[in-house]
Amino acid sequence: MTRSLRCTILGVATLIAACDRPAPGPSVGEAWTRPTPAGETAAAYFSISNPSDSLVEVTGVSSEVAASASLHQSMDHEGSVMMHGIEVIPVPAKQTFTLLPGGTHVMLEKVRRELRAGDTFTLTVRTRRDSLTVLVSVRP
Amino acid sequence: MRRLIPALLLLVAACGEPKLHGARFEQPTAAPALSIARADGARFDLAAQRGAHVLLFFGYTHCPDICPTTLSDWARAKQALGADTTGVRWVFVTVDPARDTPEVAQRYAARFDPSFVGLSPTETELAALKQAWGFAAWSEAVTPADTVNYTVAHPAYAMLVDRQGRLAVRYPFGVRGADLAADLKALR
Repeated sequence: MTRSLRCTILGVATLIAACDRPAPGPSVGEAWTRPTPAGETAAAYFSISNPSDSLVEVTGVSSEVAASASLHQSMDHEGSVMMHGIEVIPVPAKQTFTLLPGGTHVMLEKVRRELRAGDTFTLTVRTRRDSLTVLVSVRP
Repeated sequence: MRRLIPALLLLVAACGEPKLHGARFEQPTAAPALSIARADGARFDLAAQRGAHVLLFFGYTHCPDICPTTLSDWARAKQALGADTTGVRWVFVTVDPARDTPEVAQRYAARFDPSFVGLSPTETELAALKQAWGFAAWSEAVTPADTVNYTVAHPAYAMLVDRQGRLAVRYPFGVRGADLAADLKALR
């Protein structure tokens, strides 16, 4: 095998390997909620990082811990605050979006069991392409 | 010189006021009336709390975000103050009496600290409170025609009524417990 042929094969192999490597996807972390009695409503918060070069959109959430889970936002209306359901959380390329008290949050309605400080449960965060599962910590 | 001395005194007085994490009322005026029957039948009357600082927050118990955040911050403030919190009353008033009975409101407040007071005004009392305290509260269905699940708009801020029964400080949402505790210590 000539030297130039070897170089060509190596080059093509490297190119194939690069193509096989999946593009970096979003990751979810720092998920938490507050202690809440069974049957009541809780809010959960998390961070979602988007290391890719394109927009990621969170389109929904689900959890076995509550009768329903949905994306909400607390918004100020001239001194009064009101929650609104939201359809999508856009996470621009190379950015992190953090859900925080007083802003965007996951509303967990009718939690199925008491959430005590130190407990954990899983939350699934859906984007247009992925379904990401994160462990939510109950913090005092 | 005669003019200078009062001006200097004013300046000294202003410098002596501690810097707070909420907005002081420039000219504190008497707090509006607030008298609501508690779950045990006794009335909580704001006018009877003279001599204590009273923190007031108008919310509702189905509120998952703003209300538990505020009451958790209050609980942290109370913990930070330590044993001597007898001079502070922590009062949660629901703006959703249709779902929050006096028992529900009290149980909700006590979730955060057993000493917290939870109150549920009647619809008539709530209308008078909104008028006197100057806040808006209304409900919106989560989905149209759903009369069970609804969210309620309510003030995001908390009010501090001072020992003389005057509106003293308006706290925006998100004041940390440690900062609130520092303010309450400074105001003693």
